[in-house]
Amino acid sequence: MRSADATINKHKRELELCTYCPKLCRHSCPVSNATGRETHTPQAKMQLLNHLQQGSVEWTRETARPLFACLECKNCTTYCDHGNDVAGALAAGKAAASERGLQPIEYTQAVRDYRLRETRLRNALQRTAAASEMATRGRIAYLPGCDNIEFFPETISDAFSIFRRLDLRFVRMPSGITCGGHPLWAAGAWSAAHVETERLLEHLSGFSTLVMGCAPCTDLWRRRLEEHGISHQLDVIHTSEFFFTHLERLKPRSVRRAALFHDSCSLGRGLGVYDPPRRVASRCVEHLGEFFHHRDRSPCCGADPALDAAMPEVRAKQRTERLGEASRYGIDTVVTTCARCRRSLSRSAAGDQRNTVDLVDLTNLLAEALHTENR
Amino acid sequence: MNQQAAITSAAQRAIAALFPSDRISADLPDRIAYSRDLWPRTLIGLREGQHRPFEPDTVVWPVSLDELRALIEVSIEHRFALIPFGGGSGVCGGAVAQNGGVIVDLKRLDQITQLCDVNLLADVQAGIIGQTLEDQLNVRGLTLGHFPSSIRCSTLGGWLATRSAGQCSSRYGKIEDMVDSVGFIDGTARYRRVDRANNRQQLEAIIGSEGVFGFITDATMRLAHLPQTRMFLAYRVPSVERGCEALRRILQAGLRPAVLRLYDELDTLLSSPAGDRSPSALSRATHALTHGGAGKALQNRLLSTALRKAGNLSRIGANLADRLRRGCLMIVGVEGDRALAEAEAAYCHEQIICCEGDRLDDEIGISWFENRYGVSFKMSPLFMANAFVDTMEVAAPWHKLMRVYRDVHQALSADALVLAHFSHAYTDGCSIYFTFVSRGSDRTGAQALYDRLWQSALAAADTAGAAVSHHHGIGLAKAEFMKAEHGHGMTTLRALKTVFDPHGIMNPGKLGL
Amino acid sequence: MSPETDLSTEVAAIVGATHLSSLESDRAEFSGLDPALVVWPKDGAEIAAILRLANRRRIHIAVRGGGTGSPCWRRPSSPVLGLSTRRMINIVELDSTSGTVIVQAGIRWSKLCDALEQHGLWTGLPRDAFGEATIGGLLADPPANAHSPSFGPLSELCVSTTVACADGSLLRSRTAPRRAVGPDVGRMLLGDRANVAILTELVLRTRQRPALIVPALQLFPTLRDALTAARAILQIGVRPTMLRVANQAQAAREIGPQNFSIPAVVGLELAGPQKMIDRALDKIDEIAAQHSGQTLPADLAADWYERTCSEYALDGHSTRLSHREALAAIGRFTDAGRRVWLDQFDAHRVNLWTESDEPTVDAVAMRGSRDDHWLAAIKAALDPHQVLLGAQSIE
Repeated sequence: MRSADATINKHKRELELCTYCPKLCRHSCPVSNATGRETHTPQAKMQLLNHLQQGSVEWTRETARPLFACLECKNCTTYCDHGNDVAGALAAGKAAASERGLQPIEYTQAVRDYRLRETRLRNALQRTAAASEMATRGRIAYLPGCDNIEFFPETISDAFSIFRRLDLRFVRMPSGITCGGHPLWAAGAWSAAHVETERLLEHLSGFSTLVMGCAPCTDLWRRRLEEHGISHQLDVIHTSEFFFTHLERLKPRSVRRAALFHDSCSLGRGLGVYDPPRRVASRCVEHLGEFFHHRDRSPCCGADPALDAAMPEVRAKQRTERLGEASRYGIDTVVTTCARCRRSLSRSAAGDQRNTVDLVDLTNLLAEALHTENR
Repeated sequence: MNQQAAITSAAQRAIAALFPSDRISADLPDRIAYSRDLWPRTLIGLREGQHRPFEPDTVVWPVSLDELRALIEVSIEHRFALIPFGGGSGVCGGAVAQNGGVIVDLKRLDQITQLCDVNLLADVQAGIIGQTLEDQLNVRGLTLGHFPSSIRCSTLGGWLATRSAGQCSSRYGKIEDMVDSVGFIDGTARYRRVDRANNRQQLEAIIGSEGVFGFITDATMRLAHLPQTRMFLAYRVPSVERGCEALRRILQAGLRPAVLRLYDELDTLLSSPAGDRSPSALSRATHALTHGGAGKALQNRLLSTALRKAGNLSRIGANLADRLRRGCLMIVGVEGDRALAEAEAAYCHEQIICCEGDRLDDEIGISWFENRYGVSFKMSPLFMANAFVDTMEVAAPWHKLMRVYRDVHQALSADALVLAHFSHAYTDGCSIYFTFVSRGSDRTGAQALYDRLWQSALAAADTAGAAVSHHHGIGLAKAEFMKAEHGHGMTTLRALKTVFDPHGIMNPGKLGL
Repeated sequence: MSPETDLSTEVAAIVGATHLSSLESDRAEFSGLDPALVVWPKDGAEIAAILRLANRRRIHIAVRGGGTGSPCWRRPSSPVLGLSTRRMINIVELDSTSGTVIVQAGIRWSKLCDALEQHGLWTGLPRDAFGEATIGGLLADPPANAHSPSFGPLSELCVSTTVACADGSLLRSRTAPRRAVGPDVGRMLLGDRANVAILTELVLRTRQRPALIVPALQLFPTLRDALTAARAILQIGVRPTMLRVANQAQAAREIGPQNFSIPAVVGLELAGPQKMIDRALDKIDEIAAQHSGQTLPADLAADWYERTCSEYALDGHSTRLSHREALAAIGRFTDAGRRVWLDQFDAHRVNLWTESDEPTVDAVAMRGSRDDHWLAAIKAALDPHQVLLGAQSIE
């Protein structure tokens, strides 16, 4: 296991490049755009981390706080000619702050919530219709993800209805897992996350493939765990990729006139998965449109529970602008591949505009398209 | 520079009463982040550990005009400075708290409040970031036509406060040509709308005032439809003289192509996409020097050796350019209605050919366009390699332009590597954009050299008859050249200051006021 | 020695004894003011000296250019010196490379245009547009028709200024195409109506006289169609040097009687290289057709052009409106017998003209009005002794 400080050191050159940079990515940062705070621009956060790491600024709760003003959406990296991994550096910064016990209260709360919700999630999972049909054998594990379990259980039944169509009776949900652990990593609680990941890996022994309904966890398991020195032999794919590989067998039919596609940061900028979900969605709607900013320029939905608690204006702004654009085009369906995005964009904050846009997960849309075809 | 405790605790309490806790801060990270703008002089200091060059006492983020007015009233009562802050992308120290005070960041005022596609006018709040504004207009098929290389980090208010210029200025004009009216709160907390039709004089006074009179809070901006087509042409002309001749002919014939850029020999060598194919080691070195992407390891090694004698490097570079007879790169961009743009391109082509231009691959122009904001990414590697880089943009009538070019070039060349391009042309003259790279022995040495370079370059520009700034503004960096620029006009500027800001609370020290 | 004699001695010491007058006929040029003396300085230095004298003696100065305007002076109680720029008619310097010309403020517009023409230069505005007005008068108090869709407002003609400030100092602003050195003080004093400073010398930007100047006329079924088409022409990027829209009554006057009905018309002037004009004309035809318009014969266009250029008089009442406001406003002028026309176009705004006795378009929401409060404050700061009368009273 690497300490967070060691990881920061790996980003040394990026910290320097950002320190002297004229803030050429600042328009892309959802946090500084919402707070208007210079201190929250990727440049200023990286400069601050540079100072902290060099010791020219002392680690305190006050000086550590801006490091947490990052959604790790990686949008800034898109606009950086140096390709600086600001999200990665700041994730290490958060962890370094947490190791010093300097994390903001909302992040301590997020770690506590992770543990407290376990029973709740298990019960919710038990209640899903799909639970009764769970296979007991098979080497493909389906992990719907905590947000789907808690807020969008129909996505799980929809997923199973598609598996059934494909006659994939060997897909099953491994017991003892409700979440891939992303929230712990995101909260900067790296040591707890390590322990949790080891636990999850035990439950995943015997599986060869992970089909994940959660985009951030897909990114974590496919790419980032290795950066943290955790290796595994699992093939990790997102549900949208899984359905894409079986698209020709599924033959969905258009069930909606028009929809816009919203990229998840983790699946898009994180893993470079842009086309498979679009190919699936475009078979389910007559016209699949694009937002002005899409693919690697797609803005983050603003979802991060801890950051949302600390700075609710961030998600409110992202949501207002994204849905506002959809309304301006007169399109009332937005397709996403991430329960996080779906929840973030659909759940209105206080004083926020009412949502008239229907946010659907690609799994729901595909199931709808297949179901309609049946009739 | 770090004069602290300019604000009394009573004043602090009065300010705190105006803002909720999440929109006011004296936290250390905020005081660091707001202690500089992008004045390269402060980057030299930063490298040597001076990370709070102009530390403010407090930062606030108002969301309404009422909050701004209340803040001004408190400021008048307690006599502390207010420093308007947009993107902090200025390169002249115009948005820093020279002697403490309150930074007023306007970025929470960032909405397009009204947009009319009949009039092609938009009411926009001043704190909106340029690229965000442009994106929101593009979604509706419109454009402001303002593309400064800082577009991703600067704000509309900052553009107006400094008389900003964008890369398509020959078609769309500078920001002062695009503004229909501004909303303005002066140093007495009085708000007024100042429009071109009825109050042109006052508008002239406010545009470019760099916050010393008050806050530009919003503006009605003139828009255009997104162009139907966009084309680029590239040429090699034998010299800057011939290149300028072509620019002048095009403008004086009444044409307004969106992009007209002419690079001098050395800038051509370093900026041309073909530059890195040159067999010369020095060419590769200089290319690496300005192209952060190419040969980063090489870059550091070469910088440390090459810049030890920057003057030599500049001479060698010039000789090399001469030997290679590469001439000067010229890029022309036309846009708009296809038929009109094609006719415009054809006319430009004729004129450039008349000035001994050779047509190059269009790809060169397209490549410029695709990387048009990339140049600033080259800044960091230079500072990291203990060098420094800055830019100076002056403007003069055509008949004085070559003298300005030669004299300023000469003033800088002794101690720096100097590149120049001509990128904002008018019927009656043009601006010259100098980039100079150098290094000092340590911070004191570097800052002293930096100051000396600026002094001699601005003095040369002034003597040769050029305006000391075309679009970067004055700030602190050029404040002492205001007298040379305006002469007795300073009396008028001081009179304006007493009218708008009788209590002297607004952005003290800037514009030499 | 009477105070007046004393004054004339001092003034004569500045301008020379032959360049001042107390004759009734000369004083009458300052209608309604009855100045004690009228003085004809030869340059800015003399004007500055006169202003210093005026500050010392607490007298007032009223400035007169070509006498084509109708200034409204505040009548003060203390003596007034009338200052006329009629001797300041020189072209100081002409630079054909930059296309800039330095002129004294008293040169008349027509003379300026003639002189420029000899050097193959032009201003882009019609020679006969402003009669005998001086360039100083035009820039100090621009008339409502001083705007070209291609060149912008008349103030765009001026690169930099030399002004005599109320305190008697001479201020020469730097000549550069554009600057970012704080507020542009020199250009800020354009439109000042000699309130805080007197324009003494101007640097003007000109262009090469184009090889070709082509008028064009388009006929439209309604004024609304004509205005919409005019807007579309500008917004697509065609930049005519002149653009007018007229209703039936005004068109009858501009074009003369024809054997067909002309409900509304768009008239343009295009200048520049032939190929550019050809493409622009194609585009204009295309846009006109989209708005039920049709091109009128070239000879008719030429006639119209000659007439409008020579009768460029301000015989109406004008209001500057946005295009949307203008579209709303023209609906109110339904009586075909009354003349309505629009000019001074840009892609965003336009001047709507109505006959002088027509009720003004005050019903249309105007965005702003003149900020007299600010003007008064600037006046107090820059002319504390209220030496300059200004051409419009400031309360």
